[in-house]
Amino acid sequence: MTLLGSLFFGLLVFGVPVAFVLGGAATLYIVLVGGVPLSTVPQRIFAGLDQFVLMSIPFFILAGFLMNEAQLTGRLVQFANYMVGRWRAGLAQVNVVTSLFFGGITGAATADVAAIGPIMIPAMVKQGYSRENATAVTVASSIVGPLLPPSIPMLVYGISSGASIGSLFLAGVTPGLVAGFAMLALNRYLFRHMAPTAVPLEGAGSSMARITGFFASLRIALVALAMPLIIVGGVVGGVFTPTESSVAAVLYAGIVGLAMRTMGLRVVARMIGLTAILSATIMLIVAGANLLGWVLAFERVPQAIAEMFLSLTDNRWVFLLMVMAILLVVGLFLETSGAIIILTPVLLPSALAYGFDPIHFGVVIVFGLVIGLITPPVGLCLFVGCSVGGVQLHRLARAVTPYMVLLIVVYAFFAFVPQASTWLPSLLNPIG
Amino acid sequence: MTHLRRIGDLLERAGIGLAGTLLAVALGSISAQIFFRYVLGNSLSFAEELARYALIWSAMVGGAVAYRQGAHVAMTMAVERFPGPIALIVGKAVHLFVAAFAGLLAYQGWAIAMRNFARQQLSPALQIEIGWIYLAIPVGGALLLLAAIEALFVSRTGEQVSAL
Amino acid sequence: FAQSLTLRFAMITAETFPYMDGANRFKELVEERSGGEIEVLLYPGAQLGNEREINEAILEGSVQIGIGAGAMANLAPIYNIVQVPFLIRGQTHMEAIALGEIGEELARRIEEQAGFRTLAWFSTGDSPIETVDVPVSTPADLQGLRIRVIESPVLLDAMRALGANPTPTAYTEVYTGLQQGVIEGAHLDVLSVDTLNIGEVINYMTDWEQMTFVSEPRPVIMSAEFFDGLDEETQTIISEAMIEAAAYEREVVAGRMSEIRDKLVAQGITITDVDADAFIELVKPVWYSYAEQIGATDLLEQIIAATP
Ligand code: NA
Ligand code: NA
Repeated sequence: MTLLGSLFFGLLVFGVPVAFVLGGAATLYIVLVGGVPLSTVPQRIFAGLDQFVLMSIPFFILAGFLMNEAQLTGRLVQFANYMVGRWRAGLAQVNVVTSLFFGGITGAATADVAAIGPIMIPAMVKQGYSRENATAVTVASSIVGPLLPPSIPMLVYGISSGASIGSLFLAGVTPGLVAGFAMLALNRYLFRHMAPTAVPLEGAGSSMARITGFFASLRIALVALAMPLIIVGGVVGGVFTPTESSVAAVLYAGIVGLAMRTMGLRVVARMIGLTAILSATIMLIVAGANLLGWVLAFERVPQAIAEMFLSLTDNRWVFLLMVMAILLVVGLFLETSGAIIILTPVLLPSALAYGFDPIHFGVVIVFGLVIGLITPPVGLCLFVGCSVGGVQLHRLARAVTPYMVLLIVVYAFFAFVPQASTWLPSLLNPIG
Repeated sequence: MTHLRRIGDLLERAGIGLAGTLLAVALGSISAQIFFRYVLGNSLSFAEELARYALIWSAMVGGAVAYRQGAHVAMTMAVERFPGPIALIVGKAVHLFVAAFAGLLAYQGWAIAMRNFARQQLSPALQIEIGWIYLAIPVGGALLLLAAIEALFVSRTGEQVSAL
Repeated sequence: FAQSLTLRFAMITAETFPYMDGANRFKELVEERSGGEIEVLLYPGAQLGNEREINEAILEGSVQIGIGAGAMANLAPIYNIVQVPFLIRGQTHMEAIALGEIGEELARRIEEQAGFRTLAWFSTGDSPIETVDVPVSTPADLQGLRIRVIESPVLLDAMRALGANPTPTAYTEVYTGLQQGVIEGAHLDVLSVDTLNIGEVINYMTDWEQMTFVSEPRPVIMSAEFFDGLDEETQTIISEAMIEAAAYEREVVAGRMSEIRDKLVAQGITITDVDADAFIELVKPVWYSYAEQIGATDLLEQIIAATP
């Protein structure tokens, strides 16, 4: 465990790309410790890439690029300007609200960063936000997705624990919304010095011209706004799965751009090439994480950490604090679903013995692990953010810190007040 | 050295073309899946698998191209604070490490692909040899190895590739 | 005495699935009988990968024990013969196959095709057809319904033969797929219905005592090469322990299925009577064409002859 940790941080500090830090540390460990055939390395890299849930990432990135090229993003920004531009931190708020809608639907935080980043980050930069701040908002708000239904981590916890998935979905609603609103408040504070509208509004002179301008921008913005509607409506209405919705988004952005003649086929081809390279960097990080996660699971490291912590106390609330600490640490290194599968059987029996409710405990586990997605120095969403935002890791880490602190406070509240999350499922779903 | 760079340029262009084409194949495949399910009322059994496999190849080839472009996410904060000559050595050491990892991927990936051909393991839906998909690992590993070797010998100072 | 050894036993099913009861029993027996020389480590919940990955890991040597299912048929096509729908009529029929000469012959051909030694046979229970809006009694009720299947050609063909629209869906997307309507039904085994909480999103299930979609015997596998390299005493300890563990696992499955039946009825799910013969007649041609394709016509006939 110490060896793996030192290898990991050593490689990271010396500037080895994250994908090769994850895969390389695990490989060095296998070479040094032995007991595992080296063919495990290509096998787990392959397995890491061969994942159904990964598929939506390149498609959402491509849809974002195409929206940019088709000049739909600009129109969306202009419209947002009319709507919330007069408020402080307007676009940052739009970013969070979009995640509340969108992330709620795909249920995967990385997909949310990949989908919203390429649209919102350039738009925010155009309005005068720094690149790292724009990326930080995108990355931080992405974690509300796995809390709101449908949620892949909640599903996995439901399968591992036997708890009602319907109740778990409902239990995630309040924490997800509170986290979202807390971030809206934080944006309001952090960006209080931002000029309300950095981009001048057309016809800002008279109120009549303003109204005309609003409707003019509304008309074109509707075309852009139809995209999230197609995604949301399509998934909720059962027309397609979240993964398929990413493809629908690409087709829509492509067809609109070509039909409005705002971009040509050559641009589309160039964007596909660009997307392939960019999403490859993300997919290789996931693949490296898969190899490292496999080695950790093989060596039973998460169980060892959990047992060590749990042996330290027999107080109910100290136990809960320990669990939170374990989750925040494990969430750094392990992919969320994998961590849930490994930790639930270790932690849940003790939690039940201490009298915690399995639905509430699901919120504790999922919330803790998803915070790990944005916690420096290692966090999958953070890495995806670096790629789609074109930001350096340490700059993004600094910008995301206030959000992380805020989310930990919100997390602590929901961990220590079970009723705050379980009231909704017990109201709507009294059997579960 | 200019030869090395010219080969690299050529491979990079081919790599972008291949990775992009495979992404387009995945896109077309999932689109067809939706179309078949609703318009023709008959699902395609292999669409999701084809898309997944195309993306595995796309990611391995694209990952090597991304390394040549310096597009992989890394923590460079500490290295930037080192004095010039040491930073240069550390930079070379990173390329050397990646080259070693890539070499292992290429070698072990080739071996496991060959063993899978020998086992005649078929994919569930397309019923093609899994070995063909596994070959993405050694091919991507070899391309990554080339990119890392090139970076070891050809200085690419002052180059900053932004992702967007 | 037995040699010092660590056996890693990987499963894709959750810790709550009966496989784990069997695996735990195996661990107890082996560790006790070897005087602690053989250590068994259990990895449920796909911690070490999905089924295809575990099969490969067994052949490559990082995992020693696994449970063969659908993905194993991609290495050992002969296994498809026990996966054809409606052929095996339930747990009694399944045990008759697994514990008799058919099981021995199947194990021999699995080893020939894929290099796996079958230690014993676990059960995964019976599988009804679950639907959201349409109660199913005859094949006509399935017309055009989007039914979830795994990506297996034989299941796709069987579903088409029944008139349904087979829709490949990932295991983890079945719950949300049914909830949101992308799929309108599934044929999950009873235990998975319970594990995945499918009862929350469906209204109807066919009676699995009258008709089961599949009831495959699941081989507990090791690499034949690895197993043959062990000393004789170790081999005996492992084989005998697994046979006892498997008998226990099958008992747990049977008990669990009847518990789940009560639970589902209490949840308000309607269990429908079915005209089993009508379903079987439609799928029979698929049995014969597949059996011929994989060279298992002899096994098919023996399995039919063993129908209770
Ligand atoms: Na969600
Ligand atoms: Na966002």
